[in-house]
Formats: sequence, C-alpha cells, structure tokens
Amino acid sequence: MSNTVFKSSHLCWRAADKLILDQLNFSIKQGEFVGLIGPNGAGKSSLLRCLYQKITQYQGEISFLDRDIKSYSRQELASRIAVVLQEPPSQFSLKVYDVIAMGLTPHKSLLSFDTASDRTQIEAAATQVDLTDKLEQYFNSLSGGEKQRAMIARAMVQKPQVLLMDEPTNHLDIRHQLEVLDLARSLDITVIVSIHDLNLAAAFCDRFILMNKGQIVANGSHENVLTEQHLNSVFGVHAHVDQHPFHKGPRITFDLGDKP
Amino acid sequence: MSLLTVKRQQGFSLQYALLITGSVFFLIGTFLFATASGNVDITFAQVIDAIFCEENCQVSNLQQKIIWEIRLPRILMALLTGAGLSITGAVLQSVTRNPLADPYLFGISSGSALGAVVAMALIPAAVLSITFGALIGGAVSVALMLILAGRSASHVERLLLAGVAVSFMLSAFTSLILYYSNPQIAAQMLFWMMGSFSNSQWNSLVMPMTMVTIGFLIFLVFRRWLTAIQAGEESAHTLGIPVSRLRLMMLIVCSAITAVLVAHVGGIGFVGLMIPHICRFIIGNQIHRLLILCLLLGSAFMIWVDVIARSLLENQVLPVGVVTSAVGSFFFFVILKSRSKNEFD
Repeated sequence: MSNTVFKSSHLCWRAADKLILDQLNFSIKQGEFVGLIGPNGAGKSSLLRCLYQKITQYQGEISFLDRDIKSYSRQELASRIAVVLQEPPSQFSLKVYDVIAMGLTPHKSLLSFDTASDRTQIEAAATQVDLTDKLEQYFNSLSGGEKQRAMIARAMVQKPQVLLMDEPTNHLDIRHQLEVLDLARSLDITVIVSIHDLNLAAAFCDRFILMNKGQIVANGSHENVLTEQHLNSVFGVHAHVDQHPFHKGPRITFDLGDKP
Repeated sequence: MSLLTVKRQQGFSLQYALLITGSVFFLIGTFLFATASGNVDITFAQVIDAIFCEENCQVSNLQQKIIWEIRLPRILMALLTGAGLSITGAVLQSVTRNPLADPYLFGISSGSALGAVVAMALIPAAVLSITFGALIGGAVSVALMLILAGRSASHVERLLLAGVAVSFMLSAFTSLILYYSNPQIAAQMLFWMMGSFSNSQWNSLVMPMTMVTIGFLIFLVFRRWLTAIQAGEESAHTLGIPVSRLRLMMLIVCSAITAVLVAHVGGIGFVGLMIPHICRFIIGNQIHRLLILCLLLGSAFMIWVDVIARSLLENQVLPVGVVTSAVGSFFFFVILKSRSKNEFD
C-alpha cells in the first residue's frame, strides 16, 4: 500500500449551476499537516465536505487509502476520518462527557452498551485536551477554545487516521488558536485544516493548498505557495514575506498602504 | 477528578438513579390514587386487594368490577397516552432539532380528525368505527406529507412546511364535513377532538400498548444516533450516521404511535411538547435518560389530568384535552419562570 491518504483526480462540483470546485487534482500523504488556504468562497469548505463525503454528487474521483472513497461504508469512513466543524450552538446542549463519547459512535453497534474501557478512553482524551474538570459541564457553557478542544477530544476517541478541520481557529483568541493547532499536530496523524490566518498556517503546516474560485492556484511547500505574487493575485493584497525569527518558516507582513 | 466523574467511572450516576426511582414510585402512587378515586369510594387497601387477591378478597364484587372494568383500562389508557406522546415529542424535537416540535406537528391530529369525522358522519358505524377511521386518517396525513415533501424530505424545514400544509388542508375538509353534518354529530365530533379516556376497554389497550412499547424499544436502540443528531446534522454525518434516513424512520415511528393514540383517545395536545421540555430541564439531553424520564413523568401527568377531568365537576367528565392544556400551560409557565430565573442568577 502506498502512503497516499487522499488522491483527487479531476474533482468538480456544481451547486445550482455554479461551479464551486473546478478540476482539482492533488494528493495528500500519510502524516502530512496540510493547510487549505484561500479567500472566502474559494471552495475550501466544499473540498473538505467532499473529503468527508457530505458532498457525494461530484464529478471526478477521490481515492482514500488507495480505494474509491465511495466504496467505503459510512461507518468505515467515520472510523477513519474525524472532522472538527464549526456548528451553530444546539438548542439541546449535551454534557462535555457525552459530546466526547459521540466519538465512539462509528465503533459501536446499535445494541452495544457503554463499557468501562469506553469511559477510560473518554477520560484519557479529556485529560489530553485538559478538560477533565469540565466533563460534567454543558458543552454550550464552554468558551470557544474549550469547545474546539472538546471536539478534538471527540475526534481522538474516534481513533481516526485523518483529521479534517474546517476553520477551527475562527473566533478564538491567539492563545487558543495556537493551542488548538498544537493539539491537532500532537495527534501525529494526517491533518487537513482550512484556515484564514496565513501566519498561523505558516507556523504549523508542512504543506499548503492555495485555492481561489474553486481552483487550486498553488500546491506545495511554503516557498512555492506563500509567495508575494500569489498573495497579491489571490487575496488582492500587498504582502511582504520573510523568515520568521522563531520557527524559521515564512512570516507574512501585509502592506496597509495603497491597494494594488 | 470531580466527584461526578468518579460516579461515571462506576457506571452510574447516583442523582440519576435516585431520580428514576423517585419517578417510578411517583407513578405507582399516582396509579393507585387514580384507581381509588372516583364517584364510588374505594380505599387504597381495596385497590391493592382487587388487583392482587385471588381468593377471599376483602373487596366487594361491585368494587372489583368498577376497578377492573372501568378504572384500570381508563387509567392504563391515560398512562399509555401520556407515555407515548411524551416520548414521541422528545424524539421529534431531537431529530428536527426544533424545540417546538411535537407529535401533532405533521398534521396527524387533523388527519385523524378527518378520518373520525368521515366515520361518524358519512359511513355507518358498523362499516367503519371511529377509531379505525381516525387511524386511516392519521396514516393518510403522514403519507400525504411525505409525498408532498418528495425528495426534499431530507430537509427538515421543508418536511415541517409540508406537514403544516397537510394539516391545514385536512382541517379544511373536516370543517366542510362538519358544516354540512347535523348538530348531534358536530357535538360528538367536537367532544372527540378534545380527547377522552371514557371509552377505554381492555381490548382497546392492545394497539396503543404494542405501538408505545415497540416505539420505545426502537428509540432506545437508536439512542446513540438520536443523541448525536442533537449536536448538529453535519457533525452526526461525520460520525457515520445516516441523518436523513434516521430522521425519516423516526418520523414514521412517531407518526404511527401518535396516529394509534389519537385514534383511541382523540386529540390531546401540549403534553408531547411540554413533558419533554420539563424532562430536559431536569435530566439533560442524553436521549435514553430523557426517554425514560419522559415515559414515567408523561404517564403520571396524564393520569393526574384524567383524575382532575373526572373530579373537577360533579357528575361530569371534562374533556381531557382541555384539562391537559390548562394544567400543562400553568406548570410550563412555572418551569419557564424558574428556569429563566436560574439563568439570570
């Protein structure tokens, strides 16, 4: 088996006659931390939704672990791919313990009961994300950063090979943004994260896929993707890219002066 | 590690166990009280004697007859109605993620009402009983809603709108038939629509009992999925849950339970909306705990409503639907008030 996790060939998706994803070809290898970047409406979330098969009416092919992703059952996929989403708050809030316990769903049959080992797993995940004291609190009462940590704990319990994250750092303060991405990286699995903050992406991601208007503009390391020219053409901003003094990756400084 | 976490580790929550035990005793007490109360004076001891004794009973034949042939079927019907409407309400709220969802959301009561009015006014009673007519009406309303919603049945909003449309359409037909029928039938119909346990007999309990039991077991089997869907549809999808199929299945099960209950006891509103909310407030939103509490408190509430309906006016039984809405809304206001007070404190 090759170490390719996802391979997309000629992926296209239309919604109401509008082409949202246009001929996407890329592959993602095991263990990579991939940043999906691009302006609003570039198609990042739609691409992620194709990868976790919420969108299935696409053209082209996505293969997952060397097999057409459509040949997997829902349970098979859910036990291999975990997703951290931004969802509106629910009317019916659950306790943090129950939210994390949901991660067991793909591994449990409908008739099975909760076991002591389930509880151990849930508590271990809560310890890892530092939420042990909040297990009996309601999810809606948590802060934004804690909510995302709880969702990552849920993903951990799911024991996936891949973690997909759709803008997980939105609305978080800088400490929590760093915390969430650090946690994701500590899982040591393949992570694909759509993210708006380019400097944050630069600090964490091994590889970048830059999207614009449903197409992949650039794909590769920061040297190839996070260039002044790309940032100018895709985001329409003047930016200066140099080396970050701490992590030695790229540092992007935006020119607040005249627009291009 | 908090105390509650330790309790979880042991596999149970003391608070939950106490609450459920308390609710079971409350239901048993309610059941005995309701069996003892009525126009003919019967003591608790006589009730227990009548239920359990086989030889040399202390209770008279007449009292035994009253308990076995009138009161017990009636109370059991109230119990099943309260339990059935409450658990379907809880499940519908969860799968639609809508706090206003209740068992009558999809036009079932208007469908059943139309079926009942057709049975009363147009077809001789020997051919089509009111119960059977209401059952067919309820089934037709659900089928119509699914056909109208068509492929968009996977979108909860469209499903709800289709339900509302069906409800109004069938109500219009009911009104039309009532308008042209004689006043006696119109009065009979009106009484039926307000709900009553008066005609309950042992053999009429079979269908509600079967439906509520099967429905409850199905809900328990799907408890993980039902809990997960409350946290968001997309999130549930990522856990491998077939969200649209689950929702459709639950909708059909809930409709079947509701249609059977409405066919037997008429339209009793509000209980399916109120009891799940009260139970959520007490026990949270984990579905199997919620369902068990809904089952116990919904049953007890409906038995109390029947007791009040029987005893409020001398020699007269009030329609159960009227008492449910009056008592229920009062309790609901009190709970909402205390809830908002807690939230602001």
